[in-house]
Amino acid sequence: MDETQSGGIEHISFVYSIANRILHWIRAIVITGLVITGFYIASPFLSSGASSDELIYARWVSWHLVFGFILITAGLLRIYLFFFGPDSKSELNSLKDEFSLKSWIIQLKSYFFIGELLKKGMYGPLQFLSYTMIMFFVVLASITGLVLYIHVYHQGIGGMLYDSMRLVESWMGGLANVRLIHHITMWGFLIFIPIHIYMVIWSAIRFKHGGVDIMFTGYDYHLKKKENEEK
Amino acid sequence: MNGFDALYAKAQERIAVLSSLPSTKEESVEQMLEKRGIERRDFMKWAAAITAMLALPSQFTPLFAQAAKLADRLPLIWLHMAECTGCSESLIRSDAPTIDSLIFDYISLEYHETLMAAAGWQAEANLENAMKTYAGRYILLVEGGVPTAMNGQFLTLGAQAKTGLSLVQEAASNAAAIFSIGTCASFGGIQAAAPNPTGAKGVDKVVKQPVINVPGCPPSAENIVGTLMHFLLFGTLPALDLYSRPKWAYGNRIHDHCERRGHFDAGEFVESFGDDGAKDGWCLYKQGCKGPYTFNNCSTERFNQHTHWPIGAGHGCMGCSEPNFWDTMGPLEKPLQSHLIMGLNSTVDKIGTTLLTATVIGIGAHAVASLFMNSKEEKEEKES
Ligand code: HEM
Ligand code: SF4
Repeated sequence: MDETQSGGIEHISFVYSIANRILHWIRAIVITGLVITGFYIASPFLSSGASSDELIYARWVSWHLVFGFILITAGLLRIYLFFFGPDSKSELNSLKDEFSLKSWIIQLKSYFFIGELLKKGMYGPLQFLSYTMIMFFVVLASITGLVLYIHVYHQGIGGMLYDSMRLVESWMGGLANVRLIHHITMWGFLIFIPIHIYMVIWSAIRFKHGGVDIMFTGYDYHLKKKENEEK
Repeated sequence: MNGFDALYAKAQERIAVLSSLPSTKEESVEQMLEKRGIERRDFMKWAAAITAMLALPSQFTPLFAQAAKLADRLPLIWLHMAECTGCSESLIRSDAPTIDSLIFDYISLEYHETLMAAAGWQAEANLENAMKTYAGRYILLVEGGVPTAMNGQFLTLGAQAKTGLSLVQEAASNAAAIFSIGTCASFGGIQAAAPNPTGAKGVDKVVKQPVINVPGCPPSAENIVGTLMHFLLFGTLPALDLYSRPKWAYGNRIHDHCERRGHFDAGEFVESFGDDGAKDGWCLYKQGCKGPYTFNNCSTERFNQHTHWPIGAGHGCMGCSEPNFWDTMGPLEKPLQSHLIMGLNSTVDKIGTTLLTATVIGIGAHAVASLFMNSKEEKEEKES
C-alpha cells in the first residue's frame, strides 16, 4: 500500500476468509450456469434437426447436473462454515441485529438516506434476512433438483438417495409440484442477483467502504471523511 | 429358505387354501374358456404374460394358471362412487373378449352396478347379502371419488338413499382387501379438483383399512387384473410406493420407457400438432407432455390389447395417474410455462417477470434518488 492510499483509509478489517470467498464465486458462476441451462430445460429453444444421434437436450441436462452437484457441495460447505468456520462468530453476531427492531429501523432508514448503517455483526438485519433467504433457495433448489435427478439416474448417488427423495416428492404432492417449485427457485435467484449487485455497489459508494473487492481480498475498509483529510 | 422359495411356498399354500373353498360356478375356467374359443395354449401365454408383468420369475407361470382357475373362489364387490364408469369400460370393452375380461367375468362378481341384472330394492338386497355371506373374505373394488362435504350428502345411492361415504365405510369394514380402481377412487380425481365443492376424496382418506391404489384415467385392464391376480395368488398386498400404488405397475415414469425418448434427448420436439416433427414421431414435451412427471406403465403395457396408447397416437401424456393431476398438471396440452398458479391466475414466468421488472425499476429509482441525495449532502457539507 502506498502513502496516498493509506492516508485515505481507516480501520481496515478482515471480513471473509479465503474459503468463504472462493465458495462465493463458485456459487456465483454455478448459479449463473444453472439458470441458463435450467431455462433451456424448461423451454428448449435449440433443436439439432440434423440427426437424432446428436443428443443436444441430454447434453444441456448433463451440464445442469454438473453445475447442480457443484452447487450442492458448495452449499453444504458454506452452511458448515457459517456455524463452525473462521468468520462464523461475526456472522452469528448478526443474529442480534436480526431480532432487534431498532437495528431494522436503522438499516431501513439508512437505505432511504437517513443516517449511517451501524451493526453489531457483519450483516445488517435486512441484508442478513435476504442472504438467509437466498441460502434457503439454494437448499430448496438442491433438494428439488435431487428429486428430479433420482428419476433420471437410478444408480450411484441417485440409487442411494432414491427412497428418501421419493419421500420428499410425496411431501411436495407429486413430481409435478416438485418441478414447479424447482422452477420457482430459478426466479428467486433471478430477482436476488440484481438487487444483490446493486446494493453492494451502492453501499460501497454511500457509506464509503469496500465494495466488490471485499469478496476478492477479504478486507473491508472505510474511507476517511473529507474533514479529516483537510486537517 | 431364500426369497424365491419362500414366495413360491407362500403361493402354493395360498392355492391349497383357495382350492378348499367352495366353488361358486357350475363350469370350470377351462370349460368356460374353451366354450368361448380360447385354447389352453393362449391361456398359458396369458398366464406367462401376467407373471412377467408382475416382475415374477417364469416358474410362477403354472401357479398363476392354477390360481386363475380358482378365481371363482374370490367374491368381489365393486362399488361405484362419483365417477364416469370409464374404469369399468377400460376393463370390459375390447374388440373381442380378452382372457382378462373373461377371467374377470368368471370371478365371483357379487355386485357391480353396471354389469348386474338386478335393480332397485333387489340390487340393494344383493349387496347386503354379499357383504354378510362373504364377510371378511370379499375383495372390495371402488371406482370413483367419495364426496364428504355435508356428511356425504352429495352422493346418495339406491332406494334407501345411503350416502356413498357410509356405503364405502360399511363395505370396507369387512373386506379382505380394498382396491381403489382409477384416479378418482385413488386421489379424488376431477371431482376433487379445485375448488372441490363436494369435498371429494380418495377412498384411503375415508376408511381406516389399508387401500391399494390403481390410479389412471382409466387404468389399463392389465393393471386392474394384474393387481387382482397378485392378490389371488399371494393373498397379501404387493410392494407399494408412497402413494400406495403397486410398484410393478407404477415404479417407473412414462418418460423412462417412452418410444419418443430418443427424440427428447436429441432435442427434437414437435412445435405444433401436425407439423413435420409430429409426422416423424418427435417428442411431445413442448406440447405439454407430462410423461417426465408421471408414474405408470402405459409406455410398455399400452391399452386396447396392448396395441396403442396416447403418446403413440401423437398426444402427450396428461399425467392422469398422479395425485391431483387436474390441479398440478394443467393446462394439459401446454408445458409448465403455461401452468396457472392457483389463486393468482397467472403463470410463474409472468409473475417472475413482473417482480423482476419491479425490482429493476426500484433499483433505478433508488439509484437516481441516491445521485440527488449525494449532491445535496455534499452541498450541505461545503456550507457547514
Ligand atoms: C440455482 C439452482 C438451480 C436452478 C436455477 C435450476 C433451474 C432449473 C430449471 C428452470 C429447470 C427446468 C424445470 C422445468 O421443467 O421447468 C431445472 C430442471 C432440473 N434441474 Fe435444476 N436448477 C438448479 C439447481 C439444481 C440442482 C442442485 C440439481 C441437482 C442435481 C438440479 C437438477 C435438475 C434436474 C434433474 C432437472 C430436470 C431435468 C430433466 O427434466 O431431465 N437442479 N432446473
Ligand atoms: S413424448 Fe413425453 S414421455 Fe415421451 S419422451 Fe417426450 S416428454 Fe418423455
